[in-house]
Amino acid sequence: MFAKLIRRTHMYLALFLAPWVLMYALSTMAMNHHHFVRGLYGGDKPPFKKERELAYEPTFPTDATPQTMARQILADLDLDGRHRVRGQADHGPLTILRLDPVNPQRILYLPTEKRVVVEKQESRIPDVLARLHLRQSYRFDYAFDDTWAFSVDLVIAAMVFWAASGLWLWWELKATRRWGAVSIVGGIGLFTLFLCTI
Amino acid sequence: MTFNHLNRRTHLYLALTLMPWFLIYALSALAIQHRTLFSNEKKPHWTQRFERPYDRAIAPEADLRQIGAQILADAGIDGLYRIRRQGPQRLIINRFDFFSQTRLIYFITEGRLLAEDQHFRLDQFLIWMHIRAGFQQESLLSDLWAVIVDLVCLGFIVWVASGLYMWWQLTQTRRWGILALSGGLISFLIFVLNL
Repeated sequence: MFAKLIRRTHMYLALFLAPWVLMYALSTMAMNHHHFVRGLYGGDKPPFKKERELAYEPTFPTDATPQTMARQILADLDLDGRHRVRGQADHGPLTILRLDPVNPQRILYLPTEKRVVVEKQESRIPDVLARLHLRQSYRFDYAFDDTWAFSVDLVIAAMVFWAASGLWLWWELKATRRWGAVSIVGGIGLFTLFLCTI
Repeated sequence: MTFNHLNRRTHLYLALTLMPWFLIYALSALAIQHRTLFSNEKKPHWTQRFERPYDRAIAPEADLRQIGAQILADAGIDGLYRIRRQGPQRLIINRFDFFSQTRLIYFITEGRLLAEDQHFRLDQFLIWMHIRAGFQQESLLSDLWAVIVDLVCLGFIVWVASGLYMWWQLTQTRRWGILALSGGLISFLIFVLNL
């Protein structure tokens, strides 16, 4: 019964998390061959291009910070979500980078001209994968974003579980013990060699 | 040997061989995601090794890696390194291994070279292991590490593919398996399209 539970958990967890596992594998390969992949797309990252421009004259609270202003601007534009903001609260332009993994956008708020410009960056598959790979940590700004962070934690816990349950399942298969031990010792030996030399 | 047998053995032995990388990626992801579990200090601590006058002309079109190698040699330091310009007047060279880092900052107009060390810290060690990749170093072993990184990625893909095959062979698990697979796929797509 216990063996069956371990096997089934190992399998169903892997089936559920397969998209995450594939995303991490493919994005890591793209990062490992960064120059080659970049060459495939003809060089540097694509520039942001203007998508739309509109008149915009919001009312901010007197104690507004660039962070609260950015949040209000994004909500007004129906673009709310994880972002970074640069600029000053007092009459200066604000640059908001909307960290959308598929469609990253840059929003320029120009208070003196009373307008906002929304720019969009062309999406390339390796960049989308990299953005998903690099997205982590709980920021507590957006619940949905933190749910993604939770899914990352789930992948981490699953990896530890797969390793532990895999070892246990291997030990249960007596016929594979010898070659399994050779594989483990070989892997640890190679890992230690790298650890000590590079 | 049947395909089924070969599939099972590949799944198993590949996992056992690559286990150290598998675990290090899991633990390092934990260090990245929950840094405070490993250290109270947000930023790593650098201690000065030396600061001395230094003068080396750097042409605008110069090969930065070559310049980096020369500056490291002049400082009596060797090993793998990364180099980048921080503005027009500053060059930063990071000599690294898995356990420590040395940072050389060359202030070009001031004619000054500053060397700082970062000593072992568990979270940093894990993160360095996590991010080590690529074929940019002039070192066979470093390139071999990058090959292993590729192998681990291929391993992930093989585990998914061989796991799917094994699941499909177990007819009694198909219904719950389809539920888990489609649940994962739909959740993932919802995240990708709404983050």
